[in-house]
Amino acid sequence: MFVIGGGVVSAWDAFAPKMFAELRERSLVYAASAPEDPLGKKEGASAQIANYTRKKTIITQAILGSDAGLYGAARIPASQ
Amino acid sequence: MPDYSIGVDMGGTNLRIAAITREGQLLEKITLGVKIAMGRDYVIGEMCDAIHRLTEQYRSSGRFLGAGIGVPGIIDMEAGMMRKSANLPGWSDYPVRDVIEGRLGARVFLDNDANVAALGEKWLGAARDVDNMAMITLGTGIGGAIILNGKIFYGMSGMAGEFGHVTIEPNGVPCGCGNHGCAERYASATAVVRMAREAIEAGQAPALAKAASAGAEFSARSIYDLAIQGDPAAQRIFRRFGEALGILLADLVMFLIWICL
Repeated sequence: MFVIGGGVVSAWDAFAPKMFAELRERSLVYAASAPEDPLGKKEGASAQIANYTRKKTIITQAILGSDAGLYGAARIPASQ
Repeated sequence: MPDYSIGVDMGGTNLRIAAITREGQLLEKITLGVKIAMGRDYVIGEMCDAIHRLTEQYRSSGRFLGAGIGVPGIIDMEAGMMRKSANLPGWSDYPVRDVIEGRLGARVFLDNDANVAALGEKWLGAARDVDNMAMITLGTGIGGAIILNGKIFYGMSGMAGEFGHVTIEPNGVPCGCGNHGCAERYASATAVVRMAREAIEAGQAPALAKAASAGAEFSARSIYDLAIQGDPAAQRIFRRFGEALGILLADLVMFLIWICL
């Protein structure tokens, strides 16, 4: 699974169609393992995972947005 | 009340600090502007003051487990030092972790900002149901992280996941890293603004030129707004962005096939 985050991911609808087209054209692995709807919205990520984990290459938007770093940083001391 | 820790996300623009329970409940979040020009001691002072405010506020709530800090740069994990950061001049080879630990009197963990973002998505976000994943963060530049078996993969040198400096155009735009044609020169906020200015200079983008001269901030956001309004020049820029990111992902999918499947 590849998760794409950061502030510019909010422009997903402007760049993702070309990104997936390029990816499918250039990567044999991706073309052979892409989900049927790679542009699925972020709230659909869990459904994609449930359906495709271990069988498909999932490329999706981050869910936590700009808070991802805060949660991840807080996770480190909590998991020691 | 449950035990909690502090998460800090330090970007080139904002310093964000939050108290979060061990179960992942956000208790409180503070956002400050990063005054990088004031120097590292000033920035660290502001960070520590904000952490103190939160730990004082939640003192009676539960046990304070320590602070995790994500910073933009290459980190020496063992020494807790920032080795190099393009966005934080004056921080190179500085013992950030020890200095902050000394000021807080608590355990502090320092890591790269993309790594902590990946941990967040692994814990509570899009990757919570998988053990292996890679993350790409699109901001001022491109950050990256790899998680294997639920843990960050640092690689031999601690620099695993620097996806922004993968070459996608061998003779392309020069990058601050010394290479030409790095992915982040085409698929980042900085790249969007650069491509827009080039289109304006070439006389191919009247709407972008108008926006750039309007006085308001000319940013990736304002260029995106023009793209979704149908401006052809702005749309071309985001197609180029998508093309570059697609090339980068095609390489990553091939390299990281064990993450894909």
